[in-house]
Amino acid sequence: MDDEPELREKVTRSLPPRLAGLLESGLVAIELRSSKLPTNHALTVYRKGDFRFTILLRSETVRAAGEAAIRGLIRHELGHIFLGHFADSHLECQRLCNTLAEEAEVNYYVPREELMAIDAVATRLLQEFAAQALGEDAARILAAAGGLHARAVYPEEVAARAGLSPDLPPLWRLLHPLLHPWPEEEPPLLPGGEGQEAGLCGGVQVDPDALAEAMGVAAAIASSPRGQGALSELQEQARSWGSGQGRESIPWQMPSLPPWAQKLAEWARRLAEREWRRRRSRLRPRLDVLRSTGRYLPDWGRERRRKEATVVLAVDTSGSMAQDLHYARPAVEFLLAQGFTVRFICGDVEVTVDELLRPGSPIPDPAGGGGTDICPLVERAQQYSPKGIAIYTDAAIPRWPPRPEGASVLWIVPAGARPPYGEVAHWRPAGGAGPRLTAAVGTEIQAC
Amino acid sequence: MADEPSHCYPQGDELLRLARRAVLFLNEHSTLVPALWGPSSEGKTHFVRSLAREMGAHFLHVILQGLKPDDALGAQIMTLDARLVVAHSWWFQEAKELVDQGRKVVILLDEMDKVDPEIVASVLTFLRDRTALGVSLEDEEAIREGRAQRLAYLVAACNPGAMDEALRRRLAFIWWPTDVQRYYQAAAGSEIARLAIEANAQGLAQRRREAEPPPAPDFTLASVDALRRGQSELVRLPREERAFILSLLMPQEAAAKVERELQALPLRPEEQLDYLLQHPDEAARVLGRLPAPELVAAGASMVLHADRSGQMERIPAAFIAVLKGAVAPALERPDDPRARQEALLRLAAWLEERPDKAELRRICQEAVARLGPDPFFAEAARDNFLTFRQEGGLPKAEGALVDFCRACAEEEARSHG
Repeated sequence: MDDEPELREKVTRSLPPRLAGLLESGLVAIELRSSKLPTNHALTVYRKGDFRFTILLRSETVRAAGEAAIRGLIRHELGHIFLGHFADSHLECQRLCNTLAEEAEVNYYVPREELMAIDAVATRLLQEFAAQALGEDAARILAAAGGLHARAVYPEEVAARAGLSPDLPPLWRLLHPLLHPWPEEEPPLLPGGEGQEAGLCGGVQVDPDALAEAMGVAAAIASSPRGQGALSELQEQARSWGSGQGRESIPWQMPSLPPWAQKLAEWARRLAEREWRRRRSRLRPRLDVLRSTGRYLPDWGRERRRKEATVVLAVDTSGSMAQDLHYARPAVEFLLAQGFTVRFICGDVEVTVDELLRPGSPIPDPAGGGGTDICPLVERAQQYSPKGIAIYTDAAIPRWPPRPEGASVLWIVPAGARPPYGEVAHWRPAGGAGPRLTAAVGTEIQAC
Repeated sequence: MADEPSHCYPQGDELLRLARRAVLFLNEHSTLVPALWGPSSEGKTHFVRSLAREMGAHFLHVILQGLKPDDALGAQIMTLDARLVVAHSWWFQEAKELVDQGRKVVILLDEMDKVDPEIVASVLTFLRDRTALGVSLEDEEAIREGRAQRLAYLVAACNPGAMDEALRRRLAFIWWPTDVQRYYQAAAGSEIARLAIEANAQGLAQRRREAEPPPAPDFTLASVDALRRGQSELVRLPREERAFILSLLMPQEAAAKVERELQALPLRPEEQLDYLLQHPDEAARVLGRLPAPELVAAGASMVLHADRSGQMERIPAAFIAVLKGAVAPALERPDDPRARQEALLRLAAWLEERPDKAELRRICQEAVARLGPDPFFAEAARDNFLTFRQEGGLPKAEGALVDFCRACAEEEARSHG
């Protein structure tokens, strides 16, 4: 590429001296390569006979990224090398849990501001790619729905998910046994063998039969003087959780709800009655205080309050919903966070879970997995005379239930389903919508 | 725990919490039995009883003192029709029935220090395998593999004093000294009791100061088994609970070191160095491709790591691998004078005297003394290296290698001769 020397110069300039020193040893090399897909921003490979690790950086990413993001990417890849994320023990498991644990371990050595810089540039590139591929309008809608957001694997989140004690560092060897096997039912992430470079995998991709060489070179890197310098550079970042040198502006990223959740929120708000109540005089703010603080507003002595409202969320837990059940949890959380009391009903051909949840209540796990018939769920919901019933299903049902009396109904169904009554919100069906990992840089693309 | 000053040892609710966690952990993940070590009337039995209540478990109190072999765990008896049947002791029978019904049971084996010498063997078998006369309380294999939950929890209690050595190694001692906070908790709002505790405070403090700590735990295979099986739980526990359990499985200093190491950062190349030590041929190949400073550092790290991790037998091979790596250019291109010069320079870098290499030199000298005949040295002495002398320069490095190779060649000749 024409501008490759400039990009190479940009990469070198962005590195702290101790990391740049390691590159001079010849044991680690950086190559730039162009790729259309905005994934795999950085990847480390070991090619047989090279006697050095090669960090492949995506040219487009380097061009768009600031110094912090480039530094973070290099730091991340060096972490994989130092931590030996290609050893036999790491190759034993090729599931998502292995990748997550590796990414968490490595990102522990990447300062937070650099991780956030990586997030920002990866998101921007993803949105640009979507705009080119789908058109700007579609990309804007997707972005507004939160579907085009790249996020690194943050070590503390993985540690919390695994239940690791907060006083321990998120080491792979501690995290992986806690996460493994996860997810159990899915096939291994890595195909193995040839073509690994294009696949989704964490760690370093080593050529077949080159493991011994790679181990030797990694040992040499880790024990050489310049390797020791780079190692201490990484360790210092981990100790302090950040260098305190972040100077890049960080754009606010407001989380946006997907359209179906917005519709659910709008529906639920309509159900919640509000009333004006007279505020007790002794609870009113004192006028002199308000004036002195410059916050004086005319006080009418009344305030708006929300009456308590109960809604039913009926969730179809038939076998066909297995892939998409996880969408229900944020819906329940959202309703509870809004102060609603939620009657949570799950079932396949019969009701398996029926619990009243108030704000702060733990959300029970759904149960089911058998056949499909949501009529029993709606019948059970009607017994509680709720103001509204939200029914979350894939609409793969033998019959629609009769219209419940006296309750507003919201169907949360896949696009294309046409319920006979009530309001409809569409959620995206499974297949291409689940969270994906571009593990080379440890960024997660959240699909919904 | 032997050196634990009594004023630093957890007290009151803190000790109850830690002890509760340790009892559960040891029962669920190890073959060691938790044992409360302390003077009588300090609330040991009460603690176990309340633990059973919290767990919703049945509580069985077995006093081992004075029990004879047939009473302790049971006996084989002959029926009237001349059949041999096993008659278990009452508590084992009851525990077994509860477990078979899927109910939890906590068994307190009291007075463990006063076990009759005649029944030590059967008690030991019970503690290790949880079996009596060949009958198991639970399916230990299923529990070990995570297919079943532990239902029978064992806790031992003993007073300070001499104890059978074999029994001691099956137990993990939880120190239960006099604890003023526990006295206040027991008083529970009674004014007279509170006044009495205050009046006796000095005596209680004195008793705590003079409390005899339990023997320091040995680090055994049972400890390793517990750590391996319980790792997933240990790393989820808060630091104090983890440290307390570790201190029951090994001596105090070692436990503190493990906890420190757990918190330490993991960027250490031990795994890769181990790999190089285990595969010296690969190591030689890789080291041969490294620049001189990296060769020296990696070689030194290999040898030092072998010494520190107790892999002494691998030092000679590692040493040879470094030398092979140093002279690799000459071996690959024997007719190229520049390659030989490069090899000499690399060798000089490796053999260079530096203050920080004193330890390395000592280790290498010891290893060289133990080196057996190696074909590499014989070949080198015959062919390549002897010609370095004619190339001039760097006599020190050359001389060292030549002497070394000659010595090895002579030794080889002697062994063959």
